[in-house]
Formats: sequence, C-alpha cells, structure tokens
Amino acid sequence: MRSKFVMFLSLLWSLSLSVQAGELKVDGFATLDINISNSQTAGIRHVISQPDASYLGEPSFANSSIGLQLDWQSSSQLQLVAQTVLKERKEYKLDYLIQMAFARYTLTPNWQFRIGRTGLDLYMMTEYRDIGFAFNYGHPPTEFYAVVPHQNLDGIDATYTYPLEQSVLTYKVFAGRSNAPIVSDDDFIWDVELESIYGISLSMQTQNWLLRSNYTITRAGNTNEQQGQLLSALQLIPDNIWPTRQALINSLQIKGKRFNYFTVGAMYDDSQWIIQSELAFIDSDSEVLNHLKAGYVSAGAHIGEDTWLLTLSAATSNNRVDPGPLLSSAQLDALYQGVIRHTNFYLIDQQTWSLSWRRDLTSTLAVKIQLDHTQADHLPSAFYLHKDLSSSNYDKYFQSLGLSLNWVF
Amino acid sequence: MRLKQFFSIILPWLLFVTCSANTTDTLVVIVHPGNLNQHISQHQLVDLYMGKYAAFPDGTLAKVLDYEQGHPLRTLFLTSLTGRPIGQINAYWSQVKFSGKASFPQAYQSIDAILEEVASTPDAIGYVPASAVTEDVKVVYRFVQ
Repeated sequence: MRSKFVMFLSLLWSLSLSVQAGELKVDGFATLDINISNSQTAGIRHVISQPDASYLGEPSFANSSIGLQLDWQSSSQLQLVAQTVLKERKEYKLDYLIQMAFARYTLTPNWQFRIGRTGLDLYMMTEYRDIGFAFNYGHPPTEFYAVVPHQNLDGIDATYTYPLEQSVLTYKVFAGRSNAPIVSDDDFIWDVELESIYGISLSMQTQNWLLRSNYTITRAGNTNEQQGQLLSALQLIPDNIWPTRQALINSLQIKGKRFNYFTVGAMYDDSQWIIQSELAFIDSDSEVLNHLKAGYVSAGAHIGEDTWLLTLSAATSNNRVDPGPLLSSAQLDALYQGVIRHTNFYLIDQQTWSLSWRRDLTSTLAVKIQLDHTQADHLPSAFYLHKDLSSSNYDKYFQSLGLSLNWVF
Repeated sequence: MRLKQFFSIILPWLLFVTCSANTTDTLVVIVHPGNLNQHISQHQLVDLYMGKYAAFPDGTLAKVLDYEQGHPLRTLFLTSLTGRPIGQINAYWSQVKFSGKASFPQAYQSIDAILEEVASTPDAIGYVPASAVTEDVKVVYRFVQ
C-alpha cells in the first residue's frame, strides 16, 4: 500500500511534468568512492544496509552512488520534488530506488507542509548522507550513522520557521513509516519496517552555528523470517532447560516493539574553524537494540581550498548476553548460537579516530581522503560484515582508508 | 597542465567578461517598486539566499531570483554576502536542496532577465550591478565596496 502510494505520487509528478516542462529543475550528484582496509576479519562498511565491505586486499566501492533530483515549481507555494539514488544494494526494488517523492506546500513564510516520501530528519546528516559533496567527512562517522539504515519517511511533516534578529528557529513535527534493509553475514537480509513513526525536531541556525535536537518514537512493523524460526524453536524448549527462554522470546518478537531515538547536535563553521558533534541514545522494549549510546566530536579548519577534520566517534550498548540453556546438545547449542546472533546483533563497543581531508577542485567537485583507526572491543559488530572470525582470529584494531571524488551538477 | 589552466583561469575569466561588462560594479539588491519594504539587512538576505527563510521583513513570501550556477555574478554576490568561498556555499546548498528542505532559487541567465522579472513581479527579489538599475525596480540593499 505504501509503495503504491509512493508510485502514485511519482506517476502524478511525471504527468505534471509533461504539462509544464518549462518549470522543471534537474539536479544531480555523484560519488565515486574506494575504501581499503587492513582487517582480515571485519569487513569495513559505513551503513548496515551495505552488502559489500572492504577487507585486507579486497577494496570496496560500496560507498559510491549517483543520484538525480527533479523539482517542479507548480506555483509560488507548491513544489513537487522527486529524487532517485543508485548505489550498491543487496536487492534492487523500485521502492528502494525512490529516495524522495513529495509535494511541498508553503502556506506562509513560517509554515511549510510536505506529504509523500520525504527525507527522515533523524540525525544532522541523515537526509544527505549519500551526497558526498554536501559534507566535509569522507563518510559520516560509522559509530553514529551506520546503525540506522532508514533515510526516508512515507508520511507528512509540518515545519514552523521563525526568524530572530540574528538566527532562525525551526520546529518540525513528522509522522509516517519507513522501510530499509539490514544486511549481515551469510546473506542475511531483513527489510526492516518502522511503523507509527512520530518525531519532533528543533533547530536554531545562526550565520556560523547550527544547534539541533530530535526525539523520534517508532514501532517495529515486522519480524525477520529467521527470528520467526528461532521463536518457533524456542517455544518447544521447557523452562527448566532454558530458564531465560521467555525473556528471549519477548526480545526476538520484534514486531510491535517500541524504539526511541533521542539526539542532540551542534555545528560551528565560521569558514575558518569547524566544530561538529552529535550525541544519540537509542532505547527500546527489546533487548536486541537497547540503550545504544553513540556520539562523535570533530574539530578542524578550512585552509584555502582544503578542509581538515579530526574526529573521535564511539558507540556502546549494554545488551544483556543470555547465559543459554542449562543442558548442552548439538541442537541446543546450534539454537543458542542462532539466538545470540540475533540478540547480540547490536552488541557494540568500539571507537574510531578519523583524519579527513577535503579539497574543492572546482565549485562543484571535491576530492576527499579519510583515514580511520578503529578499536573494536566486540566482534562481530552490526556495523561490519565478517569472515574467518573466531576467538583466536580477531582484529581488535584495524585501519581503513577511503578516497572519493564527489560531484554535484 | 595547460588544459587545467584553461579551465581554472581562462574559462571563468572569459565567462566573466562576456556575461556582462557591468559585473565589476557594486551589486545592489532590487525588488518591485510597489514592494513596501524599503531596506533589507545583510542577515535577512543570507536567510533568503541560503534557503533558510523566504520572506521580506514585513513577512510577505518572497520569490527569490538568482543567476544560474557558475554565473560570475552569482559567485560574486554569494561570496560577498556570506564571506565564504563558493565551494562551501555550494556544499551548504547541496545539503538544503538534496534533503528536500528548500528548492534552489529560480535561476536566470542574464541581468536583463532578472530586471524584467523583478519589474513585473510584486514579490520578486533579485540582484544586479548598480549601473544596470532602471526606474522599474527599487534598490533595497547596496554592497559597500
């Protein structure tokens, strides 16, 4: 129903174009990115929906993307916007290709409403994380941005903008739903549906400062097929063999579980010095993703056409590790391994130091290099893909290097 | 190296001199003569031209006009207005535009086109070299050279 609605909006939008092609604006962006790493066990990627990762001797181009945006100015108050992004995915569906398709209505200079598929205004860079030219980092900090694959919202939002003498205040509320895939080892893919998303975002922008805060609540709309199979198997185990069985069943029953996201962020950029930081807290009813704390802080400078940034990002969660069944058998051990793989999916404890360099080659073309040094206190990690991982073969420290060419047109 | 020099130095210079001989003039911001606003501050212009708040000081919705990307007047205007290089400005506009928060101002190719649109549209705002100003438009902001 939701994808039909988006396709209907796209069709309506396309029909409108043929009527008044003269009002059409076409813009685009492209990022060519290569990432290399010295890790043999942790496959480096920057968001958990990416199906490809870089290992030692195996570079990855997964962060590359190309996109097109069409804006049609219907009247001084009504615009229609559509955006498509092509990037490496596990599955290619029309639903995934349409990044945005919405109508924007400006009632007054203060009030603006959007309906359709909009960007998800969750973190500071969520809405433009695929547009490399738009930010100074080689990639948004992994510990902060990798965990949320959702980038758009099927629904509505209302924005109230209020100008002050030297700043602009913006209040925004939004409601809707969203789908995005999570990809993991052994061809695991889960099209995660977030339903009943309600959020409020507040921001204040001056010439050099941006301060923002966001609180979003949502509910999981589906349970993964593998989780369903594990649930069925767990139902058959007596409590006296696995005393924590019921708690595990509750955790694995993701559908209907509440997820809360809270974030605060600040950015200062006076065209010479840059400071940027965000903190986030994710809480839920499920042990699978609970009490995840993440943040990053960056400091740097613009020096001529160059921009340098030093960043420390970290993420930690305090998921409870299930002790498992009291008895051991081949079937119970296999079930336990399957269960903790899901309940510990978001068991994260790691930090990364990054050094980023950006040079604007022209006013619309930039080259960026970023060196990351990561300390992972727990693998496997939801952030990465893995291979040959065992207690005796475990990369606690690894580096990765990303080189990208970023263009807007 | 020669090709790079051509693209980085010669081509922008050729564009600069061929687009208009007036681009070295002081830039002024213009509105329709019937517009009730007599003056717009630098901060309000930043809000208008950086997609933050598209209204005149009296609260009426503004139709913001600009030149096409790469036009020398656009570069001169935006860098003078914000004090930032054009690359940083384009990066900022990429955030605004591609996140769907605001659309890029309506873009025109020439000074005459801007003058014509402002003169005929009560809620329009644009900018031109001071020497190009006609009686059909009203100046609300003047850059100090």
